[in-house]
Amino acid sequence: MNHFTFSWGSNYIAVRGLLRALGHELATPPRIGPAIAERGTELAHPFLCFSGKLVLGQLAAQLERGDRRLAFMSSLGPEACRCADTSDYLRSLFADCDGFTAHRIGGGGFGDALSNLRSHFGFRVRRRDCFRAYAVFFGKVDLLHKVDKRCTALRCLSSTPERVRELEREALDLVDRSAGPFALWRTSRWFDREAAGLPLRPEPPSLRIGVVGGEHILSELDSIMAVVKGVAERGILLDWRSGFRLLARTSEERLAPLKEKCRPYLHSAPSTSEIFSCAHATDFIDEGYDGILHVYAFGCMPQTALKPVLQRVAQDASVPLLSLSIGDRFAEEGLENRLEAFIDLLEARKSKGATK
Amino acid sequence: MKRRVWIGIDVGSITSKVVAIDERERMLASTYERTRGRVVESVKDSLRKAVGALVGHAVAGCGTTGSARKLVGALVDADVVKNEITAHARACLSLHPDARTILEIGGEDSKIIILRDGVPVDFAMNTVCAAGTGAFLDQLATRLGVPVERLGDLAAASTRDVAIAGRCTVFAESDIIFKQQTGHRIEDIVAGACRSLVRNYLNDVGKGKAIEPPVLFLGGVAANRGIEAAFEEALGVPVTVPEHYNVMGAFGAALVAKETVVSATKMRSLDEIRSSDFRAETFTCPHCPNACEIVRFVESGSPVATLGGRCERWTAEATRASVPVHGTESTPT
Repeated sequence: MNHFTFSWGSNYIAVRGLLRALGHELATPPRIGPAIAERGTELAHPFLCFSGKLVLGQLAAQLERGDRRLAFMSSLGPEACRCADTSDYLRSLFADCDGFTAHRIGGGGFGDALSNLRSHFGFRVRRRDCFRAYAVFFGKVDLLHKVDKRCTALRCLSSTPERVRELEREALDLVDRSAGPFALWRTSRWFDREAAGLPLRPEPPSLRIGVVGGEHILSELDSIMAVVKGVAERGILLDWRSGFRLLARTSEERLAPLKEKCRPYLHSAPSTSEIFSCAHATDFIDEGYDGILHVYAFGCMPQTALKPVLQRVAQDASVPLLSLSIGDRFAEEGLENRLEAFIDLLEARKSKGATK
Repeated sequence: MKRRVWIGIDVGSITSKVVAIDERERMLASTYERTRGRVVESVKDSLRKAVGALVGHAVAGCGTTGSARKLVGALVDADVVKNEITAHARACLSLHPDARTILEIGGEDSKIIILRDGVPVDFAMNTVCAAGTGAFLDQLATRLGVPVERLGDLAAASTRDVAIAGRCTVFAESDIIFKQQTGHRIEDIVAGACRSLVRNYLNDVGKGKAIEPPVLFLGGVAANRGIEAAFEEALGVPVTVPEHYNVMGAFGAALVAKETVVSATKMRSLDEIRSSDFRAETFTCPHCPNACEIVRFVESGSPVATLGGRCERWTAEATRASVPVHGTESTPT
């Protein structure tokens, strides 16, 4: 029986790695389209957000084709994340579907993760299996972030952007096929070597845009982030920074200076991703970047809450900011429209010498 | 010798606008018409009216803007395809160089552009909701059984404040029904709806933006004096509706074309456009789980351009012209 997961808030490559490490396989999800959106809208509570409706529509389609075992990663941090454990709700929503199980397989710590995995797979999951599966999952997520961010910048910096696209594809494929921590380490080394060997363009980028957020927008081949990445091939540097490393829990010592930097803006108890995004935005401003691009998954509560914060950061420094909510396969036209206008704006400012 | 003109075409969700400008950036002709879902026919018709009537002129360049800018760009072989934010900013800075804020409300989208010292420095567009757009007014007019063009006059005749929930068109409609049932005058309901649209706009699109005078108000909705008055009341500053408020996007596209096209235009002749059987078709690419929605433009039975794929699979198929994107000038042929 196939296991399956959501296409939103999860990453197939990483989740597939986790399941394979435990000897299971992940079903390929159905395509999201108008029929799935309609189905989700029928099923969902009217107040549920659109992305939530898409998830439910996709889930219903997967149940209709016979998949029964839903396993999903979700956050359990201090932030107001909507994708926290919804398994009880899902089980009640699909209570009449024989054999349906839904479990959150992420955890707030090792004990929690082991307990969640055992709920899903049964008590045969050993501690060392759990440790290995999560090492693979987090290793893949971290490596995907590295590939994503490095290739985004290289699309501008390299004189062979088509080779960068190829490298990105090869890297994602290799990450998908890397079965354990050692294989991932080798893939990471291979990627570093290949990326370092790419020829660079002699001329500097025409614009430098700092990208923050996007921790939950993980690499998928030709995902909607490709629209954003495509901007880099116009000679514009997209420097996408993220200190959000899942493998290594962020220490308080590391967070303290970042929190201090963000203190004028982040007043409440912010999540790690908010602290990093805000700190990176201030870094980009200090380093004289032409603009800040804030990308976040549609409906991501912590990043939505961060939007007005970044607006204040940017306004105080008179640096243009564009916040882009990245939906799932929808509204590419609107995304292109805003990006194009943002770049026009930055170019006009630069040509007038208004950039700091 | 024929005098040169530059054409700007702005096709949005509801209306099509065409403008022709001369060497001195004066507007020689303009049209503003409802598209009624027939983009190709509407553009052909508007071009015939605006450009066909100009005797002794030769087209030197063409720019397109609006949500259908790529489709129209492929239809006419435009020299430049530009987003509507840049086009509106360019037009306003030409006619009102001291403007500091542009409010624009169209059929299904709305935007704000902040200008400082003749340069756009910030902008925002509405997100996933059309509550603060012309669609809201269309729905209101239908509900009240009055032509949408009369809403401004009705709002001006209001004598009492009536609060309408404007956060969402669905809630607004039920609120309007309730207000009708409880005996409020149509004039007061319309004025209340105008205020709620403005409130929604300022809380969504305008949130956190440094709105400073001079403020210009553009787009089809600017014809509604009730909205203009509601903006003035909410902002506490005068709001100016410029003379060409409803064709500023097309005007901006023409200006951008004039600045960009340095050699011969590649725009097709009006006869070619008129006789073209150009059409758009849409299909879902079956080759990977992305399921990209591909828009293919077909003419004389052959694909001439494609849009929408995240890889290069369908681009090579187009034979006549690729759609110029991101406002770059295509190489003249």
